[in-house]
Amino acid sequence: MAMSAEDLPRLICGRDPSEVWDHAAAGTLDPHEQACPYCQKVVSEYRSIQDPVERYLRQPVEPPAHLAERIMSRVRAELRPRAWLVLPSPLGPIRLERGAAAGTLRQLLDQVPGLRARSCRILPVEGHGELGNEAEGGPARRIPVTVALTVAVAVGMDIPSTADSVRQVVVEGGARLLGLEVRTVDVEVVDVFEEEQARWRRRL
Amino acid sequence: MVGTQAGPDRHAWIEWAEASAGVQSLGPISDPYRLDDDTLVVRAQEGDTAAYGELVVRYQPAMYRLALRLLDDPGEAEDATQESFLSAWRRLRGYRGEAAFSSWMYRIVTNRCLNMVRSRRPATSLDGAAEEVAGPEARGPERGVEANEQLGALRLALARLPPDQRACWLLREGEGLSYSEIAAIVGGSPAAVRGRIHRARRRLAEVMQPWR
Repeated sequence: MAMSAEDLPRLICGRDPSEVWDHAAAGTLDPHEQACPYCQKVVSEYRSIQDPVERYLRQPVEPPAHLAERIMSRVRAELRPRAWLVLPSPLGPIRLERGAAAGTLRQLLDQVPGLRARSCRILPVEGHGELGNEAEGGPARRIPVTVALTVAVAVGMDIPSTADSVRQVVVEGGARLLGLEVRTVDVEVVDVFEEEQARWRRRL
Repeated sequence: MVGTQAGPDRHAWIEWAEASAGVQSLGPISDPYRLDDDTLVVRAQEGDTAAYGELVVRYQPAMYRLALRLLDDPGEAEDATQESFLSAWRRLRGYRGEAAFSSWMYRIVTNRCLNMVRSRRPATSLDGAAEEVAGPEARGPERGVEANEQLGALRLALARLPPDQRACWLLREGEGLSYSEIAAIVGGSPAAVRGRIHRARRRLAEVMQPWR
């Protein structure tokens, strides 16, 4: 590989000085590095600043109190386009923000062991109209929806039966908590993860 | 508007979810702390501010620490951290997960801080306060005083490094990142990053020589 102007010249002994430095810092100097005068010069440079550098980096740095809250209040103030679900009810249509509805379904799914719901999109079933038809006072009847999910599952989970639980939770929870008629639930398993509990059990 | 508060109370809700999931007990109520970054990022991309809030809580200590060490000014570091998280929120839909969320945040914070450093007028630069570091010959007799002065000398030496060298050095020594991670954050090849960091180390060793 061609050497750029920013690359480091090698030591006379052929070693890369930054590697020698890293080995000194990690306590993994090899026999050559321990004996070679060129490498030893790098090691002594490392040692000359080791103590103040460690003390500098050990100094605690705490973010100001309430910084996270200040960030989040600005985040929440940002305007984002909203998509709505309009649901019929005897006393007039209910407008439900689609992200909030998806959040409710995710919270339900968070209770399923070994599962992490990622993307959750609520879509109209084709040919049954629009979900946010509020201009006309909302749909006169419930619009059937598809819930499209991506999920991560814990290693060792039975995927078909987990997918069944997911579907059951979404269909029943959607009807009970949101008044949705969930016609189909598309589940895409996009990742697997190791549960803390499973890791802990294996260590025993 | 119907929000997430609708429906049965949380306890009944969990019992119902347990029954739906066909399990005996779900154990402790799950919370966002157990969720991995990828899950939180996807949720945040779909507008879930609580998920983004958890990412902010998770990463603000590291981002503030880097900003403070790069800028050496608590007020500026706070601004840089806040603006970086806001900018990340606005750009989150475009984040495709090529790099870890933490690396993506480090990149946003590093770029913002380097722009702030470069836009400072020379007269108000952070090393303007002290023209020269007093050498050890000028130190007091106590070891504590010497140690503090040595630390002060190191901070000044760091402040005088070229900003890109300082950023690479801090990402390596302060944040413990690999050369390739740093290269992805600051741009350039891992070999070039190695070069910058080693030059920074040598420069610090040179400046600190009177203290040996």
